[in-house]
Amino acid sequence: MIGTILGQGTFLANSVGLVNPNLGVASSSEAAPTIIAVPSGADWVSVRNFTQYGTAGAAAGAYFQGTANANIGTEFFWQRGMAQGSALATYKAAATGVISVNTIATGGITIYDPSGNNLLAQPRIGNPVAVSASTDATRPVVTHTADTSVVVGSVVRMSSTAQNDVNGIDMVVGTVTSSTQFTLLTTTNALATAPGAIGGAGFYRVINFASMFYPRMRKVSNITRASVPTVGTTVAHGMTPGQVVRFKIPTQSGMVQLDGIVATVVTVVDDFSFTISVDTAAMTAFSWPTIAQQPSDFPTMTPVGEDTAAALASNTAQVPTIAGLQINATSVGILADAAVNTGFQGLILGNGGAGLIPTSPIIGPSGSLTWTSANVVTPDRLYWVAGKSEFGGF
Amino acid sequence: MGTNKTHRQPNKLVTKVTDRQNQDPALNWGTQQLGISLRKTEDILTRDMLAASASFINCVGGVNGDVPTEITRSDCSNVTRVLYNNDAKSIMDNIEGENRFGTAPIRRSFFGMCSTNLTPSLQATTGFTQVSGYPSQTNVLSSEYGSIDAIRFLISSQGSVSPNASSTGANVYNIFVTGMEAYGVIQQNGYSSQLIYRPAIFSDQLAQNVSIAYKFAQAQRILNDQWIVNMRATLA
Repeated sequence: MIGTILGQGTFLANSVGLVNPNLGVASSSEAAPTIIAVPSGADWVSVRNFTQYGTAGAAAGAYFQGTANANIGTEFFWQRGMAQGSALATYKAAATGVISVNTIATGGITIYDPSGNNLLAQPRIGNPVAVSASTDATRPVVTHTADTSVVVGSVVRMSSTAQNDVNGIDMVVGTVTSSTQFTLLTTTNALATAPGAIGGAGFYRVINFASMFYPRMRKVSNITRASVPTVGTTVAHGMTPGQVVRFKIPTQSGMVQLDGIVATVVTVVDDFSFTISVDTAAMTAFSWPTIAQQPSDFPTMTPVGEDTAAALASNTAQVPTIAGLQINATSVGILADAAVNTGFQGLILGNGGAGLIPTSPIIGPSGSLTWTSANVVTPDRLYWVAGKSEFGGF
Repeated sequence: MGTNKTHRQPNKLVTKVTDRQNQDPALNWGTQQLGISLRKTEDILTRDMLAASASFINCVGGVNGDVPTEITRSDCSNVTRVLYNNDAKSIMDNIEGENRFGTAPIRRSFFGMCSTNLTPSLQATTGFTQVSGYPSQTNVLSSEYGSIDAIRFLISSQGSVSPNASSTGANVYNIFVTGMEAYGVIQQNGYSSQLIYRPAIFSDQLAQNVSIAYKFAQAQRILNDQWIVNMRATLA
């Protein structure tokens, strides 16, 4: 019909940053949430798990957020008017092919629009969640009231804790211990030095967006002293080998010899760290500004261009990537540093949530992961169809 | 005047109840609104690019207990020192002093682009000269609010804000202090802003309604990262 727009696509369940929840034992678990681009926006969407359609049910034995009590969804449906994050779900409740149905209120399907212009979309910044404690460590462990929205790879922004050198700094969540505790940062981007005291009470908010434009300025959590030093950033950097960055190192961060210096990215270690071409072995040790030094400036790296020769020398790696996926709309090759608007409209396919009746969790439309006893992962294959309707409403 | 209109297409019947109307006033109003939206969108895209890519300096001279603090004269001096050290060129010429009550000379200045929410903080900052206190109103921009040190502040309701990004969870305001040619905006040949009007016969199955729209494409990026600083501040 006139005005109707249909879209479709397929994807593999995302395992980046996840490990077998039952190490050394074959298991199934939820995947990371997946964002699919739907340029027209969508009034309805249907997601089918091709892998699980032809697989016996998990009989409430798949791992969901660390506990083996979930069933794996086979098909999901959402349309405008249903609550954001909800979905109608089908699944196999027993180790057979018999289909059951349920509704999930969270971890289903959510409109994605990082511009903040769509009031029905997931908010750019989540509501504050109360924190009771955070440890004085290079990877602070944060204890909070129950909140299942934080997953490995989430970005959170602390506030009002005693750690005023961590507050206000976007940081990736490296480990989720339970629904009431997570650890900031990963092993490759831990702070160079601990904040200086425990955090105490405060809040955190989940940050649901990255800056619209690429490449992005990032706060630097650590720089090693080495001939080819490693730089850590508090959130994913998206850099590629050959890109050139300039450092700003305030006096509180020690390594002032690097302040204002331009360096070329040599290798990308992972989403949160990379190596650079400037020898820092003889420089003052890098440190994270402490609580006692506040208010202060913070160390940053700002992308300023591309070293074409270095880029050509490692041409196969010139794809700006986060979580294994190319950042939307970015250029590749020697133009990987091009300034582009990465924003797009889409849908967030969640990793699942508790059913209404029965209440056991259902792994969501982002699919599931199957782990071998050798901890090797095989992701589900999923297909989606989305559309804009000609008429009607909520 | 209400009328019923019926239009038959090969596969369906379209029936509409319509009101006859004079579309010109609405069209004029819509055109004005689209023009504002067009320019605002261009500015928002550039603003978001600067927020993503520009290096920042936190204000630390204030006393509000937050990180960053409110803006102070020492923070402005620090930012202008950084720009001077990087050989950034000021954008506006100086305004020479004149023998007029309540005025003060304005030095060669960089532009500081910020949110209208910062106006009370600017007003309360030591060394602030409001626009009405300039010796001459020649070459004053309509969005200009005043001056501190070598920064002339341009305010906009669309100024950049990082929500809940201070140590206490308050909003952090991004003040882009820029020298000449620090960043550029390129409008693609043949695709610069276009206002598109289509009469009813081309817009509507029943030739009842006109349509008006705009489209444009532009690319923006920082040309020299050393000639622009994002001065971050909370409110006083």
